[in-house]
Amino acid sequence: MTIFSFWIFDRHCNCIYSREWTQVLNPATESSGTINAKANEDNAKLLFGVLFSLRNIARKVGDTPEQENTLNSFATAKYRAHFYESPSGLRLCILSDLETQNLQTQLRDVYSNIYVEHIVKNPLSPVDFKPGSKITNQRFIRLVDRYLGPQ
Amino acid sequence: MSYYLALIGTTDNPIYEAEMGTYRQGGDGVPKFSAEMKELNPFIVHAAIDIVEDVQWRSNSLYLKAVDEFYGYYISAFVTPGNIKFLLLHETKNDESIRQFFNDVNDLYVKTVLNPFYNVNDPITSAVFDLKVKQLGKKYL
Amino acid sequence: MNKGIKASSDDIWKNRVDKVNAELFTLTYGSVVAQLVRDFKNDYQKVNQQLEKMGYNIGIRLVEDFLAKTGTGRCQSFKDTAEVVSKVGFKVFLNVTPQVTNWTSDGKTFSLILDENPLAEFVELPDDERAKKELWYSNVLTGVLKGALEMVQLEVDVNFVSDVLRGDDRTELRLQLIRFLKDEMPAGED
Repeated sequence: MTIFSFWIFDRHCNCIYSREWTQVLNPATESSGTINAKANEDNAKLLFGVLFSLRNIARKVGDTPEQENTLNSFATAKYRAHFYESPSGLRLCILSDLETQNLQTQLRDVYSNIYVEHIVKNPLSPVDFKPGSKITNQRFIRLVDRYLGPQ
Repeated sequence: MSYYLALIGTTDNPIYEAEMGTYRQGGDGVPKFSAEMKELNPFIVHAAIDIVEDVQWRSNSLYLKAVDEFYGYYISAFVTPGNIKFLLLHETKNDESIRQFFNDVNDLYVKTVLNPFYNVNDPITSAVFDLKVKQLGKKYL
Repeated sequence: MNKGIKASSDDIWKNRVDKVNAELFTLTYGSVVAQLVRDFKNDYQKVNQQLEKMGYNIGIRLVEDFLAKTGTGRCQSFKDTAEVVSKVGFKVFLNVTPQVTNWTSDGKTFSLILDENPLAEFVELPDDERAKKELWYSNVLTGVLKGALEMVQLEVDVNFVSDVLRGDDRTELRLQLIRFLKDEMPAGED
């Protein structure tokens, strides 16, 4: 299971975290890739647009009073995007290779154990990120790398 | 037999005072101090404070039994870990029941201190505290 | 469904919640309120407002922790929300289960009756005449509920109706749904 990148969008539709992993020959010694790169801004907007529209479609078509219809994942020729949205409006997205079918548990785990523990419970980190500011909390970045990054 | 209870704070200020009569042996619970005794009670109790401060360092326990005597009236004392002194003026010696009485008054005092609006050494004005102390007096004295 | 909620919230309380000494919690909250009263020089209305503000800041973060622990999805109706708040929310954070009562006919307002309030153990309001009429000791709860529900797109108005500390026979909170908040659109779209 290879994970290419990981994105977080907040309830105000801003990208607050983006992490890309590049392929390295020797993953044991280093993991590389970009964190919150500027060049990814446009990609982030495009990705968010797709996720947002698909999520709205899921809600409009297929929504029943008993259970809401949510977007799980979509696939292109080269990658599959997995999506999780918390009821509080936080949107997490992972781009992985095509073989991985379901990353919902991993997304939920990142949300409950890493995001909530280190960003929400940290009183010094803002609840509402200003447009343009990103998550720079070192512990968060390390834990996400350890959890999702190449092992 | 009548009883006079005083709680004294850390700066020798009175926090709470109560007069009680005994319910034992057909007593009606009304304190029977004569008029002169009524005036003298606080003085007797305050005179005992010095003795209490002396005795408290010699004993391991919080209850100090009878520390002073004044013409037939005994003064028993109890010191809390926060140095608040409970003093009881009484006529008959009754160590065990007075010990239990003081322990229960201590419980009530701790609950008062847990109130965030109560500062230590403030006078205790709560009617609930008063009522409960009187009930304890009825139970033990 | 109700038995399921109760069982799962009991289970979460037992296993997944870090516990702290109750007296420490009560004394901490008590000293916060007492200090606010001193700082605002007994202006109880300002103390109430400040407690609500503090509660709001707590609520907006608390709700994410709540969602992470319980994994609940969106509620389908305001009635569901009421049940989840009382049976899971209060249980997981305060280990009390208030009762949900007094629904209005349009289903937009309800009351929560708290049988026990861990914030107010051993508390007696000060004896000046205004405290008993103006101070809502547990007002932080109104802010917490307001903030938490706002993060899940529900704008509610929360108020205390009666409080045991004031001499009433029960502690009652009234929640009124004002409106559903719409999802935000990305900038530049309709």
